[in-house]
Amino acid sequence: MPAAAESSQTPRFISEVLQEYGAVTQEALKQYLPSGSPRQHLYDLVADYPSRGGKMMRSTLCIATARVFGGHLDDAVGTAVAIELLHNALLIHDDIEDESEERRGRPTLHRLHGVPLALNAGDTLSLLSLKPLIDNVPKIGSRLALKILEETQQMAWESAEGQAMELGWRHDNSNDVSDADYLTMVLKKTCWLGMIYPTRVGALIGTRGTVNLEPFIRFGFFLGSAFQIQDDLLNFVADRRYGKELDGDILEGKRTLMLIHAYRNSPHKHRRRVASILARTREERSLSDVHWIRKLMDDHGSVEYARAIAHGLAGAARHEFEGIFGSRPESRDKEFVRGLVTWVFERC
Amino acid sequence: MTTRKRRPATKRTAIERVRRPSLDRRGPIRDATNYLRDSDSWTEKAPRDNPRQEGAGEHSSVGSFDDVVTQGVKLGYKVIEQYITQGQRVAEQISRPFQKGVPEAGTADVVHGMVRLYKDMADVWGNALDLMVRNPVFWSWLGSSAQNGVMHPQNGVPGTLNGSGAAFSVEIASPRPTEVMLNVEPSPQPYTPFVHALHAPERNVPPLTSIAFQKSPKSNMPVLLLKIPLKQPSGLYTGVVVDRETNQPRGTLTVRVLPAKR
Repeated sequence: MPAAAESSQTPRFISEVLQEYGAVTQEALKQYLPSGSPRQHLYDLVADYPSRGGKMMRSTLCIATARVFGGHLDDAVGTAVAIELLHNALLIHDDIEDESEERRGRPTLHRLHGVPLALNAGDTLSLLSLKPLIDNVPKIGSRLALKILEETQQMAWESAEGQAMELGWRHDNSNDVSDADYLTMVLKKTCWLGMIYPTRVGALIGTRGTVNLEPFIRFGFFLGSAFQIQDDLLNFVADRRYGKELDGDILEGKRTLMLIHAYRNSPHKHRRRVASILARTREERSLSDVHWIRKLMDDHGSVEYARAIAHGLAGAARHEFEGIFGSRPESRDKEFVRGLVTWVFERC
Repeated sequence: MTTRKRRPATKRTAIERVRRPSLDRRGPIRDATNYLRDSDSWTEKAPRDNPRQEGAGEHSSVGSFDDVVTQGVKLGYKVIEQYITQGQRVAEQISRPFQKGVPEAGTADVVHGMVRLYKDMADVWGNALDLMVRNPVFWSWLGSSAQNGVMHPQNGVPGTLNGSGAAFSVEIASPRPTEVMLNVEPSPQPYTPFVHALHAPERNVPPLTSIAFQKSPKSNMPVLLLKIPLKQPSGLYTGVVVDRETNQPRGTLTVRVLPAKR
């Protein structure tokens, strides 16, 4: 039973490292949040999502990778702050695009303040994320700071393309999406910001720009895609203890691996019904629609299929990890990065 | 990929929006048992329809856990290798024009481009020095006395030197490759460095006079600014670094202007 074997091996200190580096990043991040006016319609909104906390996985991954490669925490914190600022900016926009209602246990920003103000706050957070990258110059030198800016530009580009792919599928009600299409979307939308970019810039900082970056794309892709599929699974297989919006992805019409699998393996009449349900707006989808699609997934073993794919990807991530990090001296930071591969199955 | 147009929303109020039920928990529950429990269900599924009937898709849902794991790994590698290959092709296309040499341009454009290039290179060189002087291993090797000669921003005084090691940078605007060597004596007191001029051994060669120590407004660190005129002959230029107030010598500055590469 691979799930049992891997999950039970996840180091307990993963959460400790997340808290430790997350606290350092949060403290540095506060210095970048403007405190002047206009507060009510801008800066209070800008500070809202970052102050709600979060796993701080992306920023911690950046710092840990930098340290694995011999860098100092101080040299990586600025980039970690930039990652969190941009991540929160994209969350605001994602929530609007997905019509989400809650984020980190509270109403989404656009539900609290309306779409125009939330959009503007998201734009402001995006711009704010540039400041710590510029402040990198005197810390780590202009050459390395510029290299990180280039990485940031590529990451933002890839993320936008991935988001466009997913939104486009929903906009056009595309249903013959293949597993490869899904993984390509996840590579761009999730993996670049979440895993590839933090490890690449972390390694750049640690090695002063002398590391080969290509292997980090593979590691980040496998880790990130396992993470994303597990995220989708939590939404589908979870009981209430997981605290996710049960079947919320079906309500939003998200093309998950489970939905793609169920559609692909369904007879034509069921496919037509799936297409018909997904063609509706979220408001028009009923609970019975959601339950019917959910049952279709059960009938076709789509949840188990996605879980097995996630396990394969996680195994590949572990393999790629050894290729990149294997020769580095053993350390708490190295154990953290290694442990993330199994942690993705335990988080919530 | 087939598409089907979304129907316009006409019954927004007809069906009440489905909302998330209220949750009992107050925070995330990180518990592997939730995950482990469900992993058993792989072999306990209810019999399902024949997925291959009626033109079902490319992959069957029937397969062992291990088969699908293998399929996932293969598919993952296929996707990522295609992605990387695509990136390499794009990179080749982008880099190709630069391999053909400098495009047609006026002499002034070329010179200005070279000045910018060498300025950037000098900045990179300055960064290398910057990183070196920040490295404690470097200082332990060099010994404490050498630290006294490094420029250090002191109490907001631009470009002062004192007895502790710190970062500085060098910015050179030069039409040709240029090497810079700054060597200053230890000093217990901070001072403002100044260089009157850098002279070549040949008496008929004009000296370099555009030299300044300033404090960077962005980084608050001292910067040595050096400008090499366009027609400055190649060669070695040397001068004395002095205390601006007392004119006491504190060290030497050596600049080597190299011939343009052909």
